[in-house]
Amino acid sequence: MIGLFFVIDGFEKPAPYVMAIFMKPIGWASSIVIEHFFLSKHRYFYNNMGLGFRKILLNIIYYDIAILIITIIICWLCRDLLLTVLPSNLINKQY
Amino acid sequence: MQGLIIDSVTKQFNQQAILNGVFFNCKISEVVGLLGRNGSGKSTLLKIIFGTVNADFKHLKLDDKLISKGYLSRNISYLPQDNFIPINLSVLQAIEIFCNTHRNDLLNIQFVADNLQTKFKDFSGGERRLLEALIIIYSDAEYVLLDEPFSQLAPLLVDELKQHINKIKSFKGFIITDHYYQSILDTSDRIILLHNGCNYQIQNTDDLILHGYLPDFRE
Repeated sequence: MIGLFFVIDGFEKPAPYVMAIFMKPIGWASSIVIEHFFLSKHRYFYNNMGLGFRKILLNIIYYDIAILIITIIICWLCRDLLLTVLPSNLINKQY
Repeated sequence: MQGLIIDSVTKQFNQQAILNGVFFNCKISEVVGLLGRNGSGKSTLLKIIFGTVNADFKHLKLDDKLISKGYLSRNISYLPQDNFIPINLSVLQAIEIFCNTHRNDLLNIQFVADNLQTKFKDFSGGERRLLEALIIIYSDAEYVLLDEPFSQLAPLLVDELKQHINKIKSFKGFIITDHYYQSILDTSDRIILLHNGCNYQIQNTDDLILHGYLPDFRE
């Protein structure tokens, strides 16, 4: 969604970006908690592959960033289509 | 100096020193047996080497390179006391993850070849233990830490596991700990006893009696 807003509106409407900056750390914090429970069960399986807690968490963040970049690229490529099919109030007035 | 060097390992639990300056080394084509009473710190030492337990102080070198956690080097594998491979994984999937260099040796084992598509949840406790031990023994890492590999195994399987360790030890260095001390004595080139937080080089069973690991029936 943030990628979509960025392509449509650029930096003009900062609200969704502020929301993203607020939401992302919460998402990552939840990932840490989930990963902790998950790793406590399968710790040695991943450790034997050379993967530690930090490496897995960094991978989650890298994948997150990669997905964001891919979304922005796809939205940019399909910009005209999105501007046509999206409801006008989403684009012009309110989110 | 090539090999795995463990030096000055110190670890306290509740202000009681479990390991106090423990040191030893392990080279390729060598099996080092680690013996000690319950609570002497054998498993803790292996976990410190592997990197899942933090020592109060340690000096760990792998082939002249200082390392903080063994598993990050990707050259040390560890068989924990409990099962560690997810139960929904099949034997073949686990082999593909951990064993590339010696995969064929592992696939030549009859029991493994017969159960490639079987998931770990469908094995008995002993079978699962044997498979996990074999996967770690034949894994790509050059140094293998085995924590009680013979427990839960029937005598025939213990013998089979010992044969596999002997077969592949020219490519790898092993550090093994178990309470089946006779199996450790049979398999190991060198024995180290952990006692009172320190390590002692053991030459024969008399040394084990001397340090109070075995009862002295001659008295």
